[in-house]
Amino acid sequence: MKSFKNLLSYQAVTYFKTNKIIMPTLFWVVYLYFSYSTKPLEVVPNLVVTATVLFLVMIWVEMTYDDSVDPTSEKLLLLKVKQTRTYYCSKFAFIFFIGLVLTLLALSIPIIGSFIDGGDLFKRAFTLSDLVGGLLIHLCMVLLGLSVARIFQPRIVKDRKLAFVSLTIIAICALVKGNILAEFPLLKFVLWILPPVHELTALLMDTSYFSVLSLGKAILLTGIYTGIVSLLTNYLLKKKKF
Amino acid sequence: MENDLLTLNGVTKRIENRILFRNVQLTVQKNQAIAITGHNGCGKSTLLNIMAGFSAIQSGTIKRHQDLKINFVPESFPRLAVSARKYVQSVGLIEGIPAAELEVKSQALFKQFFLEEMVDTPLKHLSKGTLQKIAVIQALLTVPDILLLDEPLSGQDSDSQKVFIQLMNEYVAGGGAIVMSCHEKYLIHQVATVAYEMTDKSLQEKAIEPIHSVLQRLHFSHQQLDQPLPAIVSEASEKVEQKEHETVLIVTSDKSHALLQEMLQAGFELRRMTDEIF
Repeated sequence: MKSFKNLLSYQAVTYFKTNKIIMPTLFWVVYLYFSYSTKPLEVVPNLVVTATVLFLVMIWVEMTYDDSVDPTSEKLLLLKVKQTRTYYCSKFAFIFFIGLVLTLLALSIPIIGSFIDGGDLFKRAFTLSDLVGGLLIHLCMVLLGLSVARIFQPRIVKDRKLAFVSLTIIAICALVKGNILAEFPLLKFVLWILPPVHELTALLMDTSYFSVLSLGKAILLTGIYTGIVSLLTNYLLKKKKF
Repeated sequence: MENDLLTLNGVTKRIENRILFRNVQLTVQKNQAIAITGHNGCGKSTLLNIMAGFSAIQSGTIKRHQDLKINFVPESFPRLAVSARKYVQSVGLIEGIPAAELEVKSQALFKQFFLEEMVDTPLKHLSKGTLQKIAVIQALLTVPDILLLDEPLSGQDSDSQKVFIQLMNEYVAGGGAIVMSCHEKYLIHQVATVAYEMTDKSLQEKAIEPIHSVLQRLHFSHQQLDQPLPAIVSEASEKVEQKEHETVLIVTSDKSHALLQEMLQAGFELRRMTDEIF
């Protein structure tokens, strides 16, 4: 546990010193500012849209993080930890923690908006269940974004241009999967491989309140997808080495 | 057999479609310092990476002693934005060294390698030689079973090289094992107990010629940048260090006279000549 904490601390020091977190964070703050600049807003659809944008931001954050990891320093760390799994888990947890901070930033705006300026940010009152539902759907998108970007890290995809183009295509297709399937239904045999962003938004987009059933399905889908992609990533890292 | 720490049996490495080396047999034992020499690109660093588990092999087997602890000194240390002190402290804590012990140990190593004034400088601003010292320090925070050294002397100043050689000899005498890739005959003479050469895509054992005479350090200056050295130098010197207008040769005393004549004829000026004492 102590080693895990020290690994997180090491990753924070080395990553934040590169300043690569600045641009995605700035983009996220500017997006949130514009997203909440008009009112009144629908509660659930608005939270679902910000969560979807967070999916893209997390791909960006994971890419900048992976590119900042020097292969030699990674080799040295792998020799220093007792279990390589601890090292990989700490990398995952570190980016998830960044995602959590960005999520809390996104959720702080509706909370503050409910108290100031007459509390008329939304068309109805912002409740505790909206806060919990918003937190969960944002964290699902954090997991989907970081896990899909992890598989394109330099140790697996050495050509960084290819990684960037591939991730861009995957992100766009994941967002518009519904429209693609409406036009080309046969593509469902291929597009299941994409992160289930469309499925999550479709579950919640047209509802006025978060339902336990829909959130449960969203968490289950996220868990299955993240689990499979993480297993695949770890297998490829083990097989390809450096 | 009980001293065997790591065994490579019939290891073949291919990069894309090119065979880098084939059928490598090597056993690393306690109290052993193995030097691997060979031309650039022959696969010395790759072999060290295979031993550390960082590079896949195409055929053969690798047998590691249970709970084998390996530390590694890479040829090029990463130019991170963190300071030397912060880096060493962070990796030491990750390795499980208690904070108070780590502080004492890292300070002692910084002092031994003459780094006290540079510990708060970000690694990205340090010279190649200084980075190499940090690479050595991070590997010496704990006592591993095997220490893998990839060109460990590269860029280090002569005083630090002496400290390094002394520490390596103490480590091997204490039961440690070293596998190092190096070009310097000087380092092989001082540290290695066994030497191999990577030649014709295979690893072949070679004899370490004992030094019967005293080593001497010849300091030359020259006007021209990158002034070419006489052909005899690379063959007759134990080690060659070149800076902008300075060349230092470490030679055995029986060869120093001939080398000195060649260097003077080639336009080099002798500035200093000292005995090398370890």
